[in-house]
Amino acid sequence: MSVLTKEQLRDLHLATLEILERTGVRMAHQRSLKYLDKMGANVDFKNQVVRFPRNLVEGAVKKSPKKVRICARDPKKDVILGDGRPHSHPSGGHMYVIDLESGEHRLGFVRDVQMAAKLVDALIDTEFMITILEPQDVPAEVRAIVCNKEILENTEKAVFLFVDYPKQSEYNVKMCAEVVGGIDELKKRPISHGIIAPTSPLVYGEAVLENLWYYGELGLPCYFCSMVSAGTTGPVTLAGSIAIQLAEHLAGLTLLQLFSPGTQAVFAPRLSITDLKQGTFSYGSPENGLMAAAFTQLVKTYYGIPVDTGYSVSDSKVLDMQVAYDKALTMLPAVLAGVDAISGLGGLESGLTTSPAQLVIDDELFSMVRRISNGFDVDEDRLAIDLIYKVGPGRHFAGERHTLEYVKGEQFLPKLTDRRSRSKWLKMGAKNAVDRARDIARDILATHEPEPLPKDVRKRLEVIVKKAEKELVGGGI
Amino acid sequence: MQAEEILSKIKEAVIGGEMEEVSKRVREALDKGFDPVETLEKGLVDGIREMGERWAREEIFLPEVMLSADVFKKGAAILESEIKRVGKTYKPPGRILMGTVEGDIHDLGKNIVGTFLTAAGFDVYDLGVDVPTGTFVEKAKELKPDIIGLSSLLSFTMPKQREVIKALEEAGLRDKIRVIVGGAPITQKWADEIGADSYGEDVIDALAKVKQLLGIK
Repeated sequence: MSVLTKEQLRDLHLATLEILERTGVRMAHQRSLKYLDKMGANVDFKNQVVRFPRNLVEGAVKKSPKKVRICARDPKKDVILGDGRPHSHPSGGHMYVIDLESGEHRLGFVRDVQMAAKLVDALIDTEFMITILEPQDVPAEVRAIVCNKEILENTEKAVFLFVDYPKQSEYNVKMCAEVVGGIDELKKRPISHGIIAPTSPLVYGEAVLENLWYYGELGLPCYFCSMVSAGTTGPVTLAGSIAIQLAEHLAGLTLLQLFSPGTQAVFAPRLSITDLKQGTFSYGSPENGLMAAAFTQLVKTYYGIPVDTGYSVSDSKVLDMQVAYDKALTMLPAVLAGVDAISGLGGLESGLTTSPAQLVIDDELFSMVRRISNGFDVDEDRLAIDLIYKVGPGRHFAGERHTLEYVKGEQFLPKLTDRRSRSKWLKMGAKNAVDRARDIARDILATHEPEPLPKDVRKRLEVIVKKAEKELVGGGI
Repeated sequence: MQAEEILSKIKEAVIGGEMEEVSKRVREALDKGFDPVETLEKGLVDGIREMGERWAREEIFLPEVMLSADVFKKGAAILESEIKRVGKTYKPPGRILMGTVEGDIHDLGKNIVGTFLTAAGFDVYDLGVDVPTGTFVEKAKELKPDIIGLSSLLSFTMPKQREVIKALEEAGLRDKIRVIVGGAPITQKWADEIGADSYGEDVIDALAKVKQLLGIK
């Protein structure tokens, strides 16, 4: 699906390069400034602003891989971004949870991470797991590390595990290396990633660039993830916000590809609009879907770097109809535009809250969206004109071998969605989609046992977390 | 022009976000010998308060309030020097020192809260972003605020909020100054844990909590 014409794409591309060349990006990091100065960027050391000549950016883009592999404990479960198919994962960094049993909104804890990891391990269409929440029952300094440990222990699926600040990175990388069999193995099969989150508009803080160098020098993949919001951290006009968002990503990517050519990188913008009557960032607006599709189309046309966007977290506080339409309208356009991954499964309240029942619902929604994006084949057998001739007017196709043969390929088979007759639905408890999703989640949690990590590895992870607690908590950043 | 008419023009200039108009009308009021304190209270403050109330009723957009706040500050700067010159004093309902803690460069939420505190008539000193703990303490000694507002958006800069509270205690300032914390990862639980006096969940909540701390209805 195209939302932009050729001319519009070209104008956006040129606008992005002009932002980088004329306005530039503030990089509050001496090492980066000196390095970029040496490599031919136009560096204003006094204001810490880097202006990027067009050829520098374009040269860097060429070195960035067109495919990025998100690795799993079980290599059969690896996910390849850039393989032409859409993939999906939960949104990360939540603070709160909607309790599966009581339905109450409360702080998220370590046990919620375990639960989410188990669910993702069992759900079919949610293909990879990320650092989903900041468990509030452990100190702030080690939240991401503890979260990642729980994920490593509770899913064999592909994982993308990040931390927020440089001091945590070392522990996170050590932990992930233990799981895959050492640091060299981790470089070959990365499950730990740098999350590179500039502050919009156009600022890379010191800690962010420290992280970029840390992961880049190790050769571990970097996920560029910033959150331009049209109306506050970006222009209210969608075109302007898309251009500024892409400029931010390209600035970091250029630096990365200069000092560590060929390092895997993903563009993962969390574009939103600001609701200017509330002063809140909205992630469920129709513009979100539109911007995600446009950003995807732009990157696919000019840069070829894998895109993870269409951040479908909704702005609703409860599992209601708004969640359903918010999510459908952000996911679908991005997937139809050819996005490589969708984020947001399970997320509510603009990304502050996650819900196990919502995760089950979103897994189903994503597979329906993927069904639409798969389209259908038109060939002699599928046109079925001979069959239509044979059956003729006034009869039906239900008893035909052709029907049986194609039903599975042609039709999406629901796990959660209800299409039963009213009497059967009544007999089954007259449950709505949210209640049915809760049942599925409970069932998975009661019966599904993820493949455990070897005992010695579990012990070593425990030691690393203990060390992080001792050395980071109370020590400040 | 009658006094009331000029004051109402000043108020309208604030509401309409008209920078040149506000300077012109404020100077006009001073030329005519109006009391600068009254001009501030009945012209500028009334105008900006009205905008804060309209926004809370969801009638207007954020940029309208922010433009009005800029116009308010412009007019207030002219009046403040005049108030000082004639030896009068203007007592705002409270003085607030605010900033984003060290290591964090996010300022959008803090700025919006600052705008609305200004719009509610408070005397707001914004120290900006990435503010070292020591700076909060020094500025608190110098400006003697009623309240210090600490913002952090990143979970790993949250511990800096605790550090500022401890530093205020060590400097012997804690019993004179209330501390309110905010930012996306901040919760009431966290505020309790670090011994903050209050937590503002969003702009409207922050404003209500500030008023509560100062006993303003």
